[in-house]
Amino acid sequence: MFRYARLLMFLLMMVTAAPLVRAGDPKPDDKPQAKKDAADDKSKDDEKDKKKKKKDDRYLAIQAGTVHTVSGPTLFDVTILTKNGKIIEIGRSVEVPEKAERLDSSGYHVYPGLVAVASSGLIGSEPPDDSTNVYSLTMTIALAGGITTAVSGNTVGKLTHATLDGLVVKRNIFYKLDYSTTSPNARRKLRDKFDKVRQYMRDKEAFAEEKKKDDDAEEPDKEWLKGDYEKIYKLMRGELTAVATANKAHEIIQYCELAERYGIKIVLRGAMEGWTVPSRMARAGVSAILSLRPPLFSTDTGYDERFNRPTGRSIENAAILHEHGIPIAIVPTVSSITLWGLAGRDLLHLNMEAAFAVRGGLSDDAALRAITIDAARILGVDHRVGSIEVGKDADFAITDGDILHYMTLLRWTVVNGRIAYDKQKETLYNHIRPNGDRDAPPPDDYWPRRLGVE
Amino acid sequence: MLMVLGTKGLRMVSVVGALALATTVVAQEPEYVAIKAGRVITVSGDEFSPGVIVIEDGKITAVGAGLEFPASAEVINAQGQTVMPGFVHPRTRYDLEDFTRSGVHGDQTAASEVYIDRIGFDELREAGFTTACFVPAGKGIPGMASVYRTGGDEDTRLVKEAGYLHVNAAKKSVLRDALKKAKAEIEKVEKARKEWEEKQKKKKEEAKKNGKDKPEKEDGEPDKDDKGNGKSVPGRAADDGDDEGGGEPKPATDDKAVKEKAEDTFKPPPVDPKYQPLVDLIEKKDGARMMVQLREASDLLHLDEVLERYEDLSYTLYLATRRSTDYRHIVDKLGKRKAQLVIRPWMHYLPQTTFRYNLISDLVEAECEVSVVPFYDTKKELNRVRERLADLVRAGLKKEDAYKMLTLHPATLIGLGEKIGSIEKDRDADLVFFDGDPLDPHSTVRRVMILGDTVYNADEDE
Repeated sequence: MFRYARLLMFLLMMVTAAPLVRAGDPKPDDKPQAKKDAADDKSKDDEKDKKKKKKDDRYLAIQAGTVHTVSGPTLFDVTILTKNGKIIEIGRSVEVPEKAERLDSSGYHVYPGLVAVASSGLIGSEPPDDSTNVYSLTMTIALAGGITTAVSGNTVGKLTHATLDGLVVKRNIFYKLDYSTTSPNARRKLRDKFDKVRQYMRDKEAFAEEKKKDDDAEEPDKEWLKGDYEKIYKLMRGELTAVATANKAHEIIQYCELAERYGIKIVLRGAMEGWTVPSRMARAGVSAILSLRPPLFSTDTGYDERFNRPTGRSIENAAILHEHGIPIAIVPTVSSITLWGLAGRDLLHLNMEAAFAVRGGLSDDAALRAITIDAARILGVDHRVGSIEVGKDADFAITDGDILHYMTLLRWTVVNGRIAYDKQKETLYNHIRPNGDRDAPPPDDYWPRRLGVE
Repeated sequence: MLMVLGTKGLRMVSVVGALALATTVVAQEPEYVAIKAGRVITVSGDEFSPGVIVIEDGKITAVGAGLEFPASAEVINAQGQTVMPGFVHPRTRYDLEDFTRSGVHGDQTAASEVYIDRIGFDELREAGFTTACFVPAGKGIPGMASVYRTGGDEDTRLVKEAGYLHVNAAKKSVLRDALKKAKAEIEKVEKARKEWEEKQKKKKEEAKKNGKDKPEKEDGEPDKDDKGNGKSVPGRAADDGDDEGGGEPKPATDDKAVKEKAEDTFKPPPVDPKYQPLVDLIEKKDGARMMVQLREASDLLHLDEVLERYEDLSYTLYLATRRSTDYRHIVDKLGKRKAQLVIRPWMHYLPQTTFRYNLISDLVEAECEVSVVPFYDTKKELNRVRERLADLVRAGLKKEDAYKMLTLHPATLIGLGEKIGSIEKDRDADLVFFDGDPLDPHSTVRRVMILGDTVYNADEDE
């Protein structure tokens, strides 16, 4: 079915492309010589580009053992064919082009690449396409944890090891909302802004009605609709998502009220006490970015009683929120790779954080979704990443076991159809072989032993 | 053990002494000097041991074994010594004061910072350096590097005021924006040219209609043209003239035509002088190039992305990070483009490890053209550069390559590859004499020669 669709597309493209090419051809009479030449050059350039593109077609065929598609059924012993960083075919009888790079991962589990909804240092500071160190150790460590998509500031990007190609996925993902209870004045100002925009929207609708009857109707003034107002306008039209940090129940309720009052989408970071007000959150339609093991300790106040009390944090938070239909994404408390502090609570172990949600009663499936497709949806990039489907990006975390199990190690990580991490080739974990001699011992000349330095 | 003894044999020589020595041998006929050396490392060709170098008026005329030379030649007996081309420092701020400046300053040169009497040229030449390329201070694109000889007549020390463009930016956007601006300047000139050409056409048509007798416009433009836009635009005029101008006289031949037909001369709008070097770079003017810093391997990919939309810009690279680096990732990429690069000689560590590897050797194997610079701009490091190279040789680097890194490669990199950097016919006689193997830390510089004149002589000084 799909193949026919592609054929059809191709034919369509041919039909539409042909006149384009002709248009680029010089017409003999009505143009001066120089312009004719220019046009000629242009069409030549186009041809060159096309040739270049054809040459550059990059295939990767993954012979997979178990494919956890996340969005669909789990598949066994299939081939995933990717072209130029996109999945183009999944199935048992896939025709693999001769020049395709092949990755035999039969016996391994293929998951979609994990999505770190909050991260720092995995890709460069904003704009990441200007500053990312694609050879950095942190990136490799994150890849070794199965992460393929990360966030930098307000931009979603990929962990494109050794290339800058396809680094940025989406810019300006969130509108940062601060509706803090500690500053009533700021709250009022924010509400005023929302009210003003709402009034404008009403006026606009009224104007549209009026225009039908009266041609001279005056359009509402929109000169002021700039900057923050414009963002709020987008927010209220559902074109933008707001993000806010809220941990305590009363804070969460405040944001829920705001969401209901103005009909906006809010993502709550933290939501530590969300489990005490889940139905409130569900009604307001907010989503949450959770950590299952938030710290009990803050540097400002020492041990924080508010979170240690019975209604404070709970490992069941994710399970309860999920039960109430609230979209959740899971990240560790520390959103970077740090080996000096809260060991195991940083992005080295994104999958383990999800596993802790399972300990709190969340199903395996939901826990996996919370670090893949649901996380992608919260970032607004679920059309590209988060599950294994034809047409989506070829980002895979290929493991030697259940990704939520603590013994499991990543064997390969694929980003945009390129193998970005290979356990055997990096020095991080290649000495760990929990399954005995499953992998052949590393070759003598593997990096850095081949240096021959004593 | 290797490290300590290298500099012990070297002594300070006063500048005055060296200069006096240089000026005593002034003659009117061709001045011949013949050097009988125990060993001659030509760098570009064979080694001779023993060998003879014949110099005529500061230029090398012959090198080989058992050569004949004019009887009038001054003979320098260096039987026990090794002679090689003087070292070239491709990127230094030796003894220059630092100050902060940012932004694009293509109209500045390092020469404006160099006061010859304040710089320890004696220290440079006593370490074997005969040429030094100074880079301007500041971040961003602070200006052009200037090349100096380290000895000889003070008036002729400045060899090249505007060498390569020094790009010292940590942010990718600096170079990107600067190039964009330069491109806009080019487009501005081109647009003006088109408008002018159209005007010319109209004028012609009108002239035809009116009976071909109306030469009307003002004079005096050609002069401005020459000054106004440097030398880049007339060059372009020759290219573009064919496209639309049809039978117009070509600017290349318009010296005479200019006076007859003043209005035929196109007067380009002035290019912002700060961006002139970048304009030259994009237009591939002869000798225009820039040196870009790579702090880490990834910077090369970012640089490629910036340069993607410009065709074949000429650039060299400075691998700025020392000690622990990840440059190993880009060795192949650098080799493929036969990059000319500057690096500090050092057995690099893999990041966050104690593994060391011979990056420089890898770069040479990948066919990069590597130049080395002392670790810091201090006297101690000037003298240690040979010793650090010796470390790399011990770890697998070929000796011949090591010699090139100090001489021929940096000379090529600063655009003087045809003049200095090797002992060959017609090269400047910039030579340095060692009392042993140059890469032996125990051997010392005994004599330095610039343009055939001895500017430092350790033996005489003692």
